[in-house]
Amino acid sequence: MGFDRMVEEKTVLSLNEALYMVFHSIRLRLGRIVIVIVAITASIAYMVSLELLAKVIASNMPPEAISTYTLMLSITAIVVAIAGTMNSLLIMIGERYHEIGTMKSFGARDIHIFELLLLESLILTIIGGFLGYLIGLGIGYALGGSGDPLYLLGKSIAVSIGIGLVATIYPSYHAAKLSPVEALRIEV
Amino acid sequence: MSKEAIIETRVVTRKLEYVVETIDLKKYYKMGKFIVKALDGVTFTIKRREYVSIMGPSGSGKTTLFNMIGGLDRPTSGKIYIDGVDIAMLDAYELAWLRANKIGYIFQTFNLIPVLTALENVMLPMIFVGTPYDQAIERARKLLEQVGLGKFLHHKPYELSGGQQQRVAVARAFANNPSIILADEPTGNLDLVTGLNIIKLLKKLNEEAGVTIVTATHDLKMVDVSDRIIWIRDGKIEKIELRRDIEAVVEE
Repeated sequence: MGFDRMVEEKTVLSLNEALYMVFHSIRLRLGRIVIVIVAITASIAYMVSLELLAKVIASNMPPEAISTYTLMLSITAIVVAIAGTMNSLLIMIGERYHEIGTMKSFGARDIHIFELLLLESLILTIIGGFLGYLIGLGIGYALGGSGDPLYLLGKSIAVSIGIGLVATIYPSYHAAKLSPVEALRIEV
Repeated sequence: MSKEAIIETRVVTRKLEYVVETIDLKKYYKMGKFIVKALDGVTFTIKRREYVSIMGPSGSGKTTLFNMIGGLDRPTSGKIYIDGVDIAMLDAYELAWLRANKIGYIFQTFNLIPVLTALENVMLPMIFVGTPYDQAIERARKLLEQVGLGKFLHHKPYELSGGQQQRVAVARAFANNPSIILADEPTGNLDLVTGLNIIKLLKKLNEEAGVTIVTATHDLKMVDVSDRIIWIRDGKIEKIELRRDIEAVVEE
């Protein structure tokens, strides 16, 4: 190891380090995590089953109305998912202000905190998205729906990542920006 | 150019015999219509390798002063130099660098990261400054052995007693070889004997590693090991005592 290594600036944690910490964090906070995952799972399952059953539900509607109808219902599902996810993520981050303050007083930079929180919620939302897809597929087929499972898988993961980003960016950014003193002082 | 060199050329370098130097330090908070003078003109210096205790009742401005020395908070007016660096000149990024490399914290409530083991908690500050993984593990292990926790490397904080947790926190504070260790009421949550052990440990590390230690406390046990005691009251320095003076009084 040379002198260069000593003074080289480290802008982000390596993926390994970050994943390791996130993994442990998820394992130790299973209760909260389950709530986040359930919120995502429920809405993705709703979305997927809706899509599969669209033709069954709207069999007596004119074809052009079907797409509008399912679109409206999908949007409702996504809005509910964003609200639910954001809510539980805010609580999760709130519980962690002390930890964030401690890390920052030991030299963690804003980007480190942001990276950890974002990565964690992305992992959770992807798990939720996948579970939701499986459940939705089960419900949809059981009730006689039909559709392209691969397309729905892609859509589920994409939507859940989107929800994850929308719901996480602001709370994580806010938490990362806090000064160590503020973060340590906050009592939740 | 290294970060250190950049910082040193950017700011006025003060006499390096002082590791902390404050000049007419003031911190005012606005609480509704009132202005609270948490610190009202505090001037003192702390020499390298010194063991200094800051004492005073709750609300005297101890913690505010402490946060200032640690680069956690900025003064309303006045100057504060850490290792010759004027912290008012640093941006958020450089302040994070200062906190990572120059300062080690010990908190009253230990503040270990609950999801990490003792070893990983000690490694954390090293990871933030980019120390290679195997080196960080090696150093963390050595530090934990030094504080007498060689057998508890892989325990999580909740599997350790309060005194053991504070020992992990002490090891963590030393992780990046800081110039100053700041200990805010390090014995506040510990019983008498455990507290005394932590104080002895700090004194031992102060002598062996030659690191400067500043504690904020109202634990009188701390007086025995401190080189100097700075008494704070209502945001001002009430008096600064040398330990030898106190001992002389006791002997009489």
